[in-house]
Amino acid sequence: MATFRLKNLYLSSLLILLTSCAIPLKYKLAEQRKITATDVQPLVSVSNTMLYKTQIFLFNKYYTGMLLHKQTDSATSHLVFVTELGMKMFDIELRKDSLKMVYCFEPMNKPKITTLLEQDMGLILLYQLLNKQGKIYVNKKEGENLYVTKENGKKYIYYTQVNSSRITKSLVKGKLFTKQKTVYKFGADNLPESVSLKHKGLLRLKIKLNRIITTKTND
Amino acid sequence: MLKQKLYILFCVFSVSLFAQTSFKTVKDTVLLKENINAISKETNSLESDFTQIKTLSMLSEKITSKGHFCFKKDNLLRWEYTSPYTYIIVINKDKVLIKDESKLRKYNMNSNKVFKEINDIMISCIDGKILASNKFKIGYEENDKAYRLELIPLVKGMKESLKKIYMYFDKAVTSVTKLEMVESTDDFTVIDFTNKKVNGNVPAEKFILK
Repeated sequence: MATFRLKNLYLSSLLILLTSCAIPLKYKLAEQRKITATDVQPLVSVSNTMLYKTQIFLFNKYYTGMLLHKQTDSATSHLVFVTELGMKMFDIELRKDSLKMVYCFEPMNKPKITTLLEQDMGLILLYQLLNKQGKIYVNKKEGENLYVTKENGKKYIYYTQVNSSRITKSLVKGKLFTKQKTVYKFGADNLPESVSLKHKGLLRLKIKLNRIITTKTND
Repeated sequence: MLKQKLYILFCVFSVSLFAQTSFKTVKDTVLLKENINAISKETNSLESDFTQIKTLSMLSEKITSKGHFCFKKDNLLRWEYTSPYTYIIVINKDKVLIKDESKLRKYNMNSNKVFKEINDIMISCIDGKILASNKFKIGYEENDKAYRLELIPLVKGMKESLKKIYMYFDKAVTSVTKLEMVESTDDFTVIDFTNKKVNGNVPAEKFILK
């Protein structure tokens, strides 16, 4: 009896593993090519400076503040996180195919943390999708597309809205389990309204962004 | 001729404007220190509105926040941001309470070095005890409208992030009117205090968050 229960447990675990890594059946592979901004709408806006209320739960620390995205020249933009009290926590320089932490507040400035933040911001901003070779799956019945790319042994799966190029969700899967999940919501102006990223498993990291619509004073 | 007159007028105007804003070293710092120490001793509570402008130099971008601030001896501080969103941070002795949306978070001050440093700077700037601190090299400056203290961090862990802090006092030295924190990247935050109430009744409940 015990052996039978153990076998059942192994079988059901295997089934969960197989189904969790698979592309849902309603999506059919349509083509394989480079994914561009015409397929999926980029999240950063060249013409708008964006400001987000931000919560970062990193290991056992909780940071809140505002995340600002601004284009500085035709090829570069910056993502800057500032606490409510005005202290700059990090500044990430964004280029077309790469992003780099150019400043990190001293107590946070540890390679493990800066690498993780770079990776997660890259994931939120679709760096593992846009301009990468990937597979495009189509659900013709519901008008949804799904994009899959692979990098460093990880599978990146991106879901778009019905009849739209706007992203709704992304999943990062390792060999066995889902590692990260990001959920996006867009506003009526076609710009991202909220983004939430959560790591699954042992790594305790969550990022929540909510857009602030404010009147800014500029020189 | 008209051009010349306009040029002279422009020069005079520029010089007078410069004279109003530029700061010179204070010759007699003893009296100023005494005055600051006196307000430090006499100030038991302080309430004020504030406008905080964060300038990100490299991005030529400013982020403006507004709110209300309360301080009460000893070591009770409340920053309530009302714009661009509601956010309250209370420091009650060795506890840090944060209300963000409807969520309340509690921390022990000593468990978070960042909070501890920020709290120490804020409270000692407001109650004037920063003058006795050995964490900063202090310079004293003045113009015709204000006194300005230039605080340069000396301790490791602070000087890497913070280049200097400017504290502004009105000429009568009644309280801090403005704080300016300049980071190592030349980004800076200016906090302007307005509608100040010194030694008014600040209820103890202000420093409790539920």
